Amino acid sequence: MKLLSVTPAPHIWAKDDTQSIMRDVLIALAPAFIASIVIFGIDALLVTVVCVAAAVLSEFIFEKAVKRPVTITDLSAVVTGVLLSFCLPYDIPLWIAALGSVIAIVVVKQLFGGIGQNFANPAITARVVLLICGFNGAMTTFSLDGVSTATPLADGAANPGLAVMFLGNHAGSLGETCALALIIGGIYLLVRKVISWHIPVAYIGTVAVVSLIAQQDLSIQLLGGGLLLGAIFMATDYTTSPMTNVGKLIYGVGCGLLTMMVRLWGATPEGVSYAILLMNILTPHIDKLTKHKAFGGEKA
Amino acid sequence: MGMGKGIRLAGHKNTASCTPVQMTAPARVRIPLSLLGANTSTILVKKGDTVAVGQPIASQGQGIGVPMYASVSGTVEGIESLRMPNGSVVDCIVIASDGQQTVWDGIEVPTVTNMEELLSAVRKSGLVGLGGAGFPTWVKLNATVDRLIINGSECEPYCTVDYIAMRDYAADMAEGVRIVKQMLGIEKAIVGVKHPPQGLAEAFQGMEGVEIKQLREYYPVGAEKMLIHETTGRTVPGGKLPKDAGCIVLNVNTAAFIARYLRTGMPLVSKTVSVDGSAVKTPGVVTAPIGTPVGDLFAAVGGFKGEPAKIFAGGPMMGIALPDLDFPLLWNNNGFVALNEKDAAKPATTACIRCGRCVDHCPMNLMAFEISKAYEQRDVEWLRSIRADLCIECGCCAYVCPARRDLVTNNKLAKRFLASQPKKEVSKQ
Repeated sequence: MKLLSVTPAPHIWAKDDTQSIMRDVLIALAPAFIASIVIFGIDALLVTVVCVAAAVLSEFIFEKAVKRPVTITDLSAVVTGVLLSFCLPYDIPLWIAALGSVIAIVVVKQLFGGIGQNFANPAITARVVLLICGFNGAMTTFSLDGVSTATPLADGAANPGLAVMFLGNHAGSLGETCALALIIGGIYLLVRKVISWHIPVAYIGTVAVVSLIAQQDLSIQLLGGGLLLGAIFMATDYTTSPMTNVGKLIYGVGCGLLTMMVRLWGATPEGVSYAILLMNILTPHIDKLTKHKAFGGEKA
Repeated sequence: MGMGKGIRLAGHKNTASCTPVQMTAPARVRIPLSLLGANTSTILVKKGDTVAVGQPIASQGQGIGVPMYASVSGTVEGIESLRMPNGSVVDCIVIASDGQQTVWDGIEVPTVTNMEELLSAVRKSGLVGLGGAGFPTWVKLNATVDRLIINGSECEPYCTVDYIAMRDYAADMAEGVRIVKQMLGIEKAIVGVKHPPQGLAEAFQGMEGVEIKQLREYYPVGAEKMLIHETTGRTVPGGKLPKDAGCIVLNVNTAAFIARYLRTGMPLVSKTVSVDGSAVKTPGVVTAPIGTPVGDLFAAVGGFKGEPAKIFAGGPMMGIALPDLDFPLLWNNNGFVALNEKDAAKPATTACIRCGRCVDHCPMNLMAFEISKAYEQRDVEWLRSIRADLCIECGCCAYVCPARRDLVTNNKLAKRFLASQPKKEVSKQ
């Protein structure tokens, strides 16, 4: 008889593993992906494909180069690629899109130790780097049907109407415009327990409250920019958001406040990326403040 | 902070409707002289001695030990050493069975009229906690409390012998509860159960101060601290025992055994266990003498389907993997599971993605990922500050971890590491 395997308990595991979680995120992103192609055409598809390919390839090459185990099958690089593409204009030069992926994967993720070790969300950080570089306005000029158009959040832009913003047929980054698709994805993630409600609800709720106080157009503030994409898919990134539910609420509120500060007082119309990036950096401190107390462990 | 939420598990209670099969005596039994490590008992038999079922073969020794009894009739073959799953090596008395199962003629029915007599009778019976931990029951009973909690939760998958005891021996159980309650002067008994079998409530009819409490459906609702909180609302302070919260917790089989022993005088010489798992042909329930090779238990229900790749005593969440099929059946075992190659494979460990599931599901509200980190650095103060010592080793953290990290194993190592450290240093001025 063969030797028996002797391992410590437990001897069973829950179904979800890192790959299945990332797969669920991709499934949740699918409606917005389809919407982006419908709204912006085949160019949107190209940007996403290039971002994903560049992300996966740079992860593979980097890990090979530094002799780390190759982890591209965990699908996290694919998620990063899709998310980055979702916050780019559909007509961005493809080399800029690819460069963004390389920055996200190599600089933000791998140089800090790979999955689970990055202090900031790779897609968001890469986007912010691209924004700062500017590329002659390639990152900030949005168009629809080939005509240069301001996003609903831009100063002086007209409200395109609730229906348009819900379905997404307005200018913006390619994955952020269709609110309906993003909400469907968010519900999927909640049902699959990939994310909890704390961050999205705290984030979106804070934006709504501040908008009302500041007498802003609520529909534009909630649906006209990158809020839903950010609150559902980016701010909920495990690695860069707090662990406990209380921490998640604090983090969500912080994201909301910072977003509105940029939107109301900042030099740019949109503040989601900056807000999440800043809160990413605060996450270790929030974690420290919101540690669980052991059951029955009041006195050491 | 209160209790955490634990996890939901598939029950796999395939043997819940089985009737226990009485196994014929195995050719040979090995009875280890100690379950918990330190062994101070004296061996009362020598090679070549003839022994009968229920005959003492080792004294109770000092401290908290209990005596050991022959579980089969036959001839003492000698003393062997056996490596226990925790790494310790203990002496075993080996008895070759004559197949007769002759009962020792020195069996006496004890008389119990007060707490002292109950404690000494329970100690003499060789009883240890039958739910799994195997702590000597007489030590637990030596306490002044106002709540007796009977654990019928049986939250490990596959395990069914507690349910079967409540179904078939509810009267014994009720009698055990009555005796303990009366002798110890306990105000109230609470039977915590997830799925009460028919007739359970009837067994307690007419008994005052007994409540049958339906437990919530989660793992590990049957862990002592969880169960005490669920049934009484009390919290056992960190590092303290149930008695510090005014409670004694007994497994249903332990309670039933007390009644049976006081009626018959037959000490703990056999055990009923469930036998199940993907490598088993037909799952079943077997009653067998202590010390029976585990392989014989599997054979008694029809053997294996293919070759087993992993066998563990207990359930899949906390069960202890056994090195071979010769390992003896012990007093605290309640079931064995054999897994096939596919189910035995341990998934590969990957990097922590900080998903927070270990934090979210820990019933003790500990933060397992942080305990692992602090343990990797052997940081005593850090480990103390996050109360690594309070881990109940239930395995929820490792179960839910999508990166399949050995979280509960690290917790156990961290606990042992902490225990090995000198007591708190005097803080430097």
